[in-house]
Amino acid sequence: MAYRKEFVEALRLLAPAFERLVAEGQPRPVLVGGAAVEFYTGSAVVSGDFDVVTEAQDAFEAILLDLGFVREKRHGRLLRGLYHPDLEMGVEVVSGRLFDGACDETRIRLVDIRDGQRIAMAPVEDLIADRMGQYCATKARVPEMLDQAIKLYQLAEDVDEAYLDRRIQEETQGEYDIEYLKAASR
Amino acid sequence: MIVTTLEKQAAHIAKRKAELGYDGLDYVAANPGTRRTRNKVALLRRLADLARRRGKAPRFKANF
Repeated sequence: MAYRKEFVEALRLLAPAFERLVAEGQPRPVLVGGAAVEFYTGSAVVSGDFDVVTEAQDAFEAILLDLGFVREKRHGRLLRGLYHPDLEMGVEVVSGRLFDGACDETRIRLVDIRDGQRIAMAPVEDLIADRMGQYCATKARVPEMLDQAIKLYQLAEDVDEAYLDRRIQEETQGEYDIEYLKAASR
Repeated sequence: MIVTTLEKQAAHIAKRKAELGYDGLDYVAANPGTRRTRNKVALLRRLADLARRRGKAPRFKANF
């Protein structure tokens, strides 16, 4: 297995939480951000925590608390993250629609983690576009984010190129497109 | 949705890495951590502190 042990352990801890939310009749939550990038790069990118998007934030956080997570507080202020004190892993739950509703949810990867318990991963096209958006978020540019976009594209399987092109243009306000990414990937 | 497993994804990545000539895990740049939110920094710091109190390295390497 190409993945680091800690990543697999964390997915095995989270998968039952994802399934419990679905069993409660809520839409399936989706893993985004660095942890999804870790999935698509075989742990070449290592994520410190797990970002989850769900329209049922309160219900999902209640499940996490039931599984032993606690809320993060610093200086007496309640923050958005939760962490598991024994397993040293963190989750940040983001309320709302995936990529603000711009995501084609048929592109989501549903990953069987163990015994039919599954975690939904954000589409690789959206992660590439998100990295391109972060790349051009500052005038000075963030070259590490372009590098992650390139490697995600190179490693990806069955990319929907028309969709990827549209999403890159959306996330970069038209500044970049798939042709730029392809040229940078050569 | 596209259904897969960790094993299938790992096998695909290994095949693509070999085709691309990539080796090991240091062929992708790490997140520089310069644009993290206050929430994110607090959470990562908490996880690092938990590990340190147990005399261990954090379970991840991240800039924050």
